[in-house]
Amino acid sequence: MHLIKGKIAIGKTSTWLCICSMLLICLVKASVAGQDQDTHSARLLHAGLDLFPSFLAADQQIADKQDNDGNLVIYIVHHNDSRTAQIVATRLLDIKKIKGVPMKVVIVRDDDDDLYSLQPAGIFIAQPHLPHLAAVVKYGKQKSIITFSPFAGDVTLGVAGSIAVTARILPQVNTTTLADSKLDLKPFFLRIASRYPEVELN
Amino acid sequence: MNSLRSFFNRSDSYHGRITLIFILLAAILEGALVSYWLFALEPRLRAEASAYSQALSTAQAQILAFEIADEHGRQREEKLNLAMDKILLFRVPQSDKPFTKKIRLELDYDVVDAPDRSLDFSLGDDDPSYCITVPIALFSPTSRELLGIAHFSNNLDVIENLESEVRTKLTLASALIILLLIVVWLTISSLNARLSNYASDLARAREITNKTIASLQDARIILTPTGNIAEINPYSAHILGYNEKEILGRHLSEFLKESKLFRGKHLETFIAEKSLANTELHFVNKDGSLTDMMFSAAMVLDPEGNFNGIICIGKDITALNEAKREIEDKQTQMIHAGRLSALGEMATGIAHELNQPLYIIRLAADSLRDYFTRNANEAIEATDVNKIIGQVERATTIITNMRSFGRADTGKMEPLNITNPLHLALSFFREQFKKSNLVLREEIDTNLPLIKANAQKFEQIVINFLSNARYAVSTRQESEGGGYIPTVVIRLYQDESDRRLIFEVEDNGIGMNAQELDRCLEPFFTSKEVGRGTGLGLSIVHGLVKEMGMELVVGSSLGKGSIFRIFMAPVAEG
Repeated sequence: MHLIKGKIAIGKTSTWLCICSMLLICLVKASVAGQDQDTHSARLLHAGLDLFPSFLAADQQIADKQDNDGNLVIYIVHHNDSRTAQIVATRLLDIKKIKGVPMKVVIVRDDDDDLYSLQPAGIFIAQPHLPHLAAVVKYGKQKSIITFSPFAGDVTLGVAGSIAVTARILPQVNTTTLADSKLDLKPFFLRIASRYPEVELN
Repeated sequence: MNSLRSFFNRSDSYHGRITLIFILLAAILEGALVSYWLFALEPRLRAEASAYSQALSTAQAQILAFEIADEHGRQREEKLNLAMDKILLFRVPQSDKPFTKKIRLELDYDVVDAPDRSLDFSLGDDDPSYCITVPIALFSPTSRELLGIAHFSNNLDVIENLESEVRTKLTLASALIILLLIVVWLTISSLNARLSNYASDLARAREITNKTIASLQDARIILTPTGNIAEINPYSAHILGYNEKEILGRHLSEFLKESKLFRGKHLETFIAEKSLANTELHFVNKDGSLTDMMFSAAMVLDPEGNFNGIICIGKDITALNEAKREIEDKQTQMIHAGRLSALGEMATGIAHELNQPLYIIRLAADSLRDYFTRNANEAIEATDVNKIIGQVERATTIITNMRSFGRADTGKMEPLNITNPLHLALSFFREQFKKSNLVLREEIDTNLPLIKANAQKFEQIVINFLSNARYAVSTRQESEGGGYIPTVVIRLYQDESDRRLIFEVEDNGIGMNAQELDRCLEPFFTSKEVGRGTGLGLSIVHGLVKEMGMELVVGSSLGKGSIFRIFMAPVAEG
């Protein structure tokens, strides 16, 4: 009987050990996956920062979108990641000018009423899965400006510009949003850009 | 043989089908491999090659973008050309061929500070074949604006080598598959051939067994557990006079005189005892006659031990039984013949003894007649002496006949004039018939050919016929009295149609009914009153007739009379 009890005790311990080990493995995997996801988002952000100016430069009415001070106001929109938004702002300001027009970067939250107070020339989404993305997109369309997000999937939600990452990194445009926004991008730019929804190119 | 041939045909057909299946299988596999190559692997290889090409070209394009964006640098065009030349220098290590065969620039002169189309260089092969052309966007390293597009025509030799390698591997794999299929096909064919041989051996063995069983002169019947006929061999059906279809499904007892066999309690008893051994059964044939069979039966059990049927084997013993009966008849005849022989010997002895007193009576009578003649005595005594002499002569004739009849029978068949034994036999009866007022009419053709027979046996036949005829007419005379003329007609003549001699004894006596007529030749069957007949007469006649190779036909009508007719073949002339 003792032996049997011992066996049962050992069996239970083993079961618990197994369960705990599996939970631990799952947590570690989830953590690693989260880190991977963060790293990937950061990479997308940097790639997007490289391409965003080309979107602004491709906008044929960009010169008309200066504010009263003669600056191109760019919104860096985030929800709760001001640190990343700050990095984005710094990187963008390195470029200083688009087609000779100085840039001014404004960091705003997606739920901030200030978002709608100024006259921006473009919007850069600096955080993935933005809760109020739809409102931002709608605003971009109303103002006929580029709404750019480097994060995968946002272009399907209506963002006008994004990046298509395969073996190379290409600008990606949402043709529907471009039409709705009455945005007029340079044909040369559109030739190289990837399109959403995808169209057969002859 | 036909079944064997059809079996082999089936075997060939099976082999053909197997071969066809293997050919189809090989074709499907080859088709699948080719399809996989054409629609999956090759496009994927090309897509991957394109992806790698794009990635490499993107990296190389940065150098070009840098040179294009350097608006203030001196000799920008020359630097750009050098950069492009440098890119064109890169080679594929395996084939030592240029990785990029051609580079063509297409710049946006709204962004690039240069005269229109002044920097749209194109370097490399003018007609780059077997290339993949990848457009790469050139962005300004400083302003990040799109400067233009660089079209890289990259060599597909890398992918070609890879394709060739994969194609070779696939070809080898497909060849291996075909080889394996051929090996499997050969193995199956070999097994099929061996199986066919076994099957043909089995079929031959089965055919031999079936033929052996079919040739057995035994009944073989398989019954269902309820006693219905499930299978029957042709011999069984043949001896019963049915065809197989008429028998199958019917209960066995329907064909048996013993109708309770394999029914009710008998079936239960059979199941309990599990077999039935050497039981004589009587099958009723289709024509109503009987077939005697020595019958054995055994239960058939299935692999689980359940009662599954009954297998019956029967031996036709009708001929055996008939032979037994004939032997018994012969034995009876022999006993009778023995008695007759003893009686004959005794009669011969008596005749011999009577000859002496008759001889003395005859001598005395002759002396008296001489005496009366000498004395011219015509008194009644003289007439009586003549009567004595006549009766003595008659008695002497009778005794001579009896001695002749009683002589030892050698049984030898010899050509003879049949009228001699006929007259000898008739001599016994003429006087008797006369005294009894019975009409004996003789219609005897004397000009007849010889027949091969035994005289004494023929006499015996005639005596038997006449004795029976006398009894038949006498009995009818006794019952009918006055108006009836008892008549017996003896005929001996030759049939014109088949040249056979016919001996007939016809009477208008009491006759026989149908049953009596059927059985009249059976030993010990008699219609006479008790003590007046042994029932052996006609049976002996029947035996004698058969023995001498003659044919006996009996006809009778109750109350009208009977006729006994013997057909005898004449001795061939020459």
